[in-house]
Amino acid sequence: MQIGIMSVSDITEDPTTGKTPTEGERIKNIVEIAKHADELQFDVFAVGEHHNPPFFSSSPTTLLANIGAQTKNIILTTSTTLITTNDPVKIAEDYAMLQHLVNGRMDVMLGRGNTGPVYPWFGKDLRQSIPLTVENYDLLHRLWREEYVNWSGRFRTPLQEFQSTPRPLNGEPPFVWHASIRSPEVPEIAAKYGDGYFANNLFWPKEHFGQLINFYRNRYEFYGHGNGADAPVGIGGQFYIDKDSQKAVKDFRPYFDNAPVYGHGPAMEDFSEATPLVVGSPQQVIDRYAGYVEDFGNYQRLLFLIDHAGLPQNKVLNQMDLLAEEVIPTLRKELDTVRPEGVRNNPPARGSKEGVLWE
Amino acid sequence: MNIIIISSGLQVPSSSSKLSKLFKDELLKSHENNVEVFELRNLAHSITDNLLVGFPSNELKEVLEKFYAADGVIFVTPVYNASFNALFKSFVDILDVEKVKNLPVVVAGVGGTPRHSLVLEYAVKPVFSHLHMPVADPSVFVTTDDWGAENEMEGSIISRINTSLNNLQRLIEARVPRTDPYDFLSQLNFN
Repeated sequence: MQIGIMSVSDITEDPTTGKTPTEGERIKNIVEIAKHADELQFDVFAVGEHHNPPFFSSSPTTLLANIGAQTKNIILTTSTTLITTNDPVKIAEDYAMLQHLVNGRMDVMLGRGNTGPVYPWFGKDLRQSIPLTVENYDLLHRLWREEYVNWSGRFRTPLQEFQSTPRPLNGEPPFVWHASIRSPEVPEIAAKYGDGYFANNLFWPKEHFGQLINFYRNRYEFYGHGNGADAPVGIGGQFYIDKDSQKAVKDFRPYFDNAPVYGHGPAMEDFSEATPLVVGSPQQVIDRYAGYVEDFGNYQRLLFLIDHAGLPQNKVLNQMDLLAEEVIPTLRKELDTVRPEGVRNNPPARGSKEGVLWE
Repeated sequence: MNIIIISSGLQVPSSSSKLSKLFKDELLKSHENNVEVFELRNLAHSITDNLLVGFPSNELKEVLEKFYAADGVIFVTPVYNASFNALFKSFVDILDVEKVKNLPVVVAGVGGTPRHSLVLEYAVKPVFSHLHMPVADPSVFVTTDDWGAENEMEGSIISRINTSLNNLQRLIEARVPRTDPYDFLSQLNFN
């Protein structure tokens, strides 16, 4: 079971102080967050890809390579890498390079993105989003597995005798997660290739994601990759905790009320009931996320969003400490208890035979 | 027929509610009809929250499920600034376009003077054309004067309501069977 954190890399004003960090400060802070996550023995650190303010993370492999040089054990990944607007050749190369630099402790999560104008900015047509996803991933998959690629498709220049370089570490391509909040085509792709499916359930009710995850498990089994219960599933999580749950509610409310995505909308209490957000005690987080096994089956990766909505760095680090001390040990035990015997605990090993964390 | 009436009048009491009641009364003259009226005013905060976060509150979800399951729907909107009011459009904007395809609709409106009556033709009907919801003719527009006209209700409005409802019934009988577009997700139950 992998438990970690993910960042969307937003630069947001702290509503309690009116202060907005500079890009430089946030970029330095995210490196500190990732290093702290490694010290706390979190399993995974993930960062998103954006090409517009208020986000800073346009170049995830650069950032992850820097973090990789300063950490020991944590798996580095993305949340997500844009499979629609990036050239799959460049994805193959950038992430193989990262894989070598961090001795294989990385994987990659692919997504379609949620910002329409990014398509024209990168010369792509938004209406072709799903076909781009299908074609680009098919090419990426081949580039990591075939030494010489002869290829032609609709969306990029043909390739003749092309060699993507560097080759994946030890000849083993990075493990791939496919993330989607809406389109069933994406879990279908994940199932077809036997890759992982990540349902970023942060902002919508669980019933919706339960359907997509069930669909993925069925299709995973259909394509002959094994038991659907073993299909690698990841979900997102969100919390703000304090040992005194009323204090957590009081502290987080101004951040909730002004946050991007849900701010100025429903009351925090209503939103918490409908979505994975837990604002309260560590035990409430444990109960909620152990309980998701009933809705989603056994999941192998859980990524919490912590550094967002203008929370200052000291609060983010403090939440990480609480997660490490008060939540993860018990949550692991609870998840071990409910997991049926024989069902896979971790995503499949991939990427480095000498890998540090891989089973 | 299982009919849902959506009324977007803002005042209490509102002319939109009165017109909704006329539709309901006419429909209930047949014991085969089930009718439920929803006042959007009571759901206004939930509708706004849905616009902001992308999913409905439990209360609103219940209304939406009934709406999607209906045989036909009736929208009654007041005319504000030469068009449907914002609450009408906010509700329409949270509908799942896949789930309303082929759902027959009657459009009705209220306004101060007959000057506004073509709003239903120019502003409201195109919205439903866009959503692939067949519109029953005629639309029914009631002005303030109509509420005081002697025999006006009986002679004109009620007959327009009934022509509309008859055409709604025809659309319902002739409609392409409506299926749940997400059925494939729930049919594959993983155990």
